[in-house]
Amino acid sequence: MIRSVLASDLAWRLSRSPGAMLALAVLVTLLILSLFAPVFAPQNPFDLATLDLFSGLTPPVWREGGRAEYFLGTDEQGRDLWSAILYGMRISLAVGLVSVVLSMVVGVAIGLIAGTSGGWVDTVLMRVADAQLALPAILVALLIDGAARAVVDVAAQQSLAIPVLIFSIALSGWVQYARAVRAAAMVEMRRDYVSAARLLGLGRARLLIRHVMPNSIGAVFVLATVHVAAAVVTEATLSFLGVGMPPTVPSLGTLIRNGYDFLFSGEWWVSIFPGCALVLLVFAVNVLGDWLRDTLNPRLQ
Amino acid sequence: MYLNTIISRLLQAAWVIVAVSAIAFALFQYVGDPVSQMLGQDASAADRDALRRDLGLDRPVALQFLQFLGNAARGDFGLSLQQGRPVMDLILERLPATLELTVFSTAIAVLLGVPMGMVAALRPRALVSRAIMLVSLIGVSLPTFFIGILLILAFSVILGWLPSFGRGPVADIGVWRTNFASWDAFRYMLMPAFTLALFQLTLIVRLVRGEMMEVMGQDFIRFARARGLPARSILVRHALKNALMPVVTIIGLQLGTIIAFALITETVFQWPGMGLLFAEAVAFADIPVMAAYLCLIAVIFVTINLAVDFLYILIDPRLRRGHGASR
Repeated sequence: MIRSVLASDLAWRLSRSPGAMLALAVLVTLLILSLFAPVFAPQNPFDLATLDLFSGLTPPVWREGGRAEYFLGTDEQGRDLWSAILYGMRISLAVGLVSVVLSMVVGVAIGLIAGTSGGWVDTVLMRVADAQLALPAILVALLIDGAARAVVDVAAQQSLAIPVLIFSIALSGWVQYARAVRAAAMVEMRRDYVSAARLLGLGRARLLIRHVMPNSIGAVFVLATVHVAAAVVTEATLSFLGVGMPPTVPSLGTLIRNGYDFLFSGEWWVSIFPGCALVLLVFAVNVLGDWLRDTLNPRLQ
Repeated sequence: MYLNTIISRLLQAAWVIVAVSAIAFALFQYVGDPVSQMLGQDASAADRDALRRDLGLDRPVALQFLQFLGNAARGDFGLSLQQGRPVMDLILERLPATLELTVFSTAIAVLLGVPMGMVAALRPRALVSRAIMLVSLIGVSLPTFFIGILLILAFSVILGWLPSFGRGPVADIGVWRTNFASWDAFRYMLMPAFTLALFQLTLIVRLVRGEMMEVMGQDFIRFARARGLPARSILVRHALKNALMPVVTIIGLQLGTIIAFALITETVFQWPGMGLLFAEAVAFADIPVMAAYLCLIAVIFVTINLAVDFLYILIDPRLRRGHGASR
């Protein structure tokens, strides 16, 4: 019941904010388009049989030489860009969401342990967090990716590329969650219900997961919304740098990187359109995330 | 007590450096497996053991770590796996390119950002201010590499005004290779520098705007006005001076981000700096280069942070006087 009241309150506030409404509309459109990419895309961009090399580098439809079946033009392999963008956005979103969830799980676990243990465990965990904060996410992700490349042998690299990528983005983003949960958990531990649960003889794991965690986790979901945009950008950047999604499973970043080679010969659409899709996605998530943060938890920055 | 502050800052700095070099050491010693890299797959077990002894890999880990630190302090990070040359030579070769790019872009960001932030704070409703805030919103939302691509499209491909990659005809001044000696070389730096500057500019505009708005509402500004001081003097000597203090700190703290963004910018424009070196090292799993870059970044980062902290103590008399100082 509380949930539905909160939802209606949130919906009411949303209806009062045109910027957030617009962002939500854009985001929902993009989500539907990419989730049902096979429905909306005229071509399966990964099915080599449907590609036609002779229509490679066709310009967008409104330019001279453009063709109606390739609305945004094609890349060098004759792949329809509109289809590639829809499929690519699906991959970008999937990688972003999975790594944010992983970040959240790791961060919440570490924050709970640090906040409820105190003592040297807390000190060590938070010092590690401090040290990692000194390095920006993209550097951490690059570093983990590079180390993983050296450990994993060449044969397995192809199949492990995606898990490694998700893992590196996830590990570069846990600190914020850990800090938020730790702070909240430290407050919760002083509450009466915790003492009561302890007196009842509840195990530590059960106390943490069933009682402390639900009360300390509020800020995490707000942080996660903004983090999705950051994770999508990190993934796109890594892919652009050539260490992200492989060309066989191209995300938006991979598409931009691929199109970058054709920028100088005048085929700008191959990289600019995927780039615009990325910007639109990130912008919508950012606006919505900022709005959510301001509305739900004004204390977070 | 500012002595306490200094000591705790120094300890913090030392902790960060030790932690980062431990990671670099772990990478260097265990991930890369230097023995099979140096001998190849076909070496006999006896050869491997001999080399292991020569490299000191049979010694206790703590001792190896100390040795790694000692070597690192002397600038010895071994050979690059990709290029077969000493890592330190590679880095020193690339250092001027990165330093010139970051310093120049920061200069652009400060010189443009501070006045823009002031205008946006003093006339929040003016059209100029709205335009400035819009630009800063765009700066936040566009990924760095895409800004670079858009600039290249506009100024290299369509207009043909500016070169899009490399450093161009640089001049050697002693050991330093510079882009500032001629206009021909300077042109090569314009787009990378603006790409890197845009993100910093965004940050500075927002900070200066926020701080100025707060400072202008305070009593000492009202008093200065009441004393009949000229508006320009109030703005620059009283308001701006106070507004800039947090800005200096935040820019110092943002250094890590600037380093990361420099890496991306250098890759987009194929600017031969340290960031490009690192990005290539990651793609080739060139562990010694990665380890060295990591250590160097940690040292630079910590040094600048310390410098900012001490600068802060120098600028702000309240921190210098120690206890008893009140607002």
